Amino acid sequence: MLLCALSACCSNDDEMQKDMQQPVISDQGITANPIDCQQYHRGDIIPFHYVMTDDQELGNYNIEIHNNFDHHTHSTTAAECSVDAQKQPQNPWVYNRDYTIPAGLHQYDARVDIQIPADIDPGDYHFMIRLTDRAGWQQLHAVAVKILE
Amino acid sequence: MKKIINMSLMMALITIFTLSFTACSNDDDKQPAPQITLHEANIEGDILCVQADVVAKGRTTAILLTIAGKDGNVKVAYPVTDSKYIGVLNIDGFHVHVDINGKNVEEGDVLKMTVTDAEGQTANAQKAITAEEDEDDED
Repeated sequence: MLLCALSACCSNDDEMQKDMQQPVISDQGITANPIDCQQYHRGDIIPFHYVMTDDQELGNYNIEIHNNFDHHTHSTTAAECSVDAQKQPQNPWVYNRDYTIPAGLHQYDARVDIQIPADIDPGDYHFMIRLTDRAGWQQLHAVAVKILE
Repeated sequence: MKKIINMSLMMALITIFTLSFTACSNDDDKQPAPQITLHEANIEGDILCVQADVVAKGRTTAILLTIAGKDGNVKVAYPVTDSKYIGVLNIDGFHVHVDINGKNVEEGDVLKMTVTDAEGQTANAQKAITAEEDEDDED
């Protein structure tokens, strides 16, 4: 009994199952949307579609869209798209929304139709996808898009 | 004699339990304090653009941005409550726009970023504020 108690006390199950890896945002097996340098028009719908995976368990994701009228960069932006001249925002599109992923999943097919408002400033925007797994590891995927009039 | 044997057994059991709990202590689970890499604190019109990377093995619980003048007086205190930045182990590409309209924030002021984790550990990073660069002026 004493040995059993000691064994239970020193069990290392939590350590063995500790999530040490960031989740992954990918286009595996799908045609992902949006992708770098894509162009949309005001009033269009962006059919967001990415595959999200994690070795342990997915948590939630966030989509944020902000202007890039100042030509800033993000670490995950791979492609170099042509950009309009710098300008001051007048009525820029600001989108920031959290989405839940059903519990217990290792893979999730994320789809959201996002309506582009008809009255926003046209120009260069960053479409930011942040995926967080259940453990708290986060992955960022930044996409550069252009909104035309 | 029987009493002495019982006492010895009791002492042995207590020693074993003490040793076992010491061996199973959770000291190794204590996480390191958060780490902040502050990349940018740039004035762009009426906003301050802040970009950073954060690693918080103890999970972020609070993030505070403060802007102080050269005399040390705080001009702006901006708690970051966006859920995507709270309760996470890492933030790659922290990007926040702080409204500085009418706050008299100027180049050379200091941005301080404070991150607190779930274990109550706090880390700070600070950066001198720059003013926006107009690409057209660089030519």
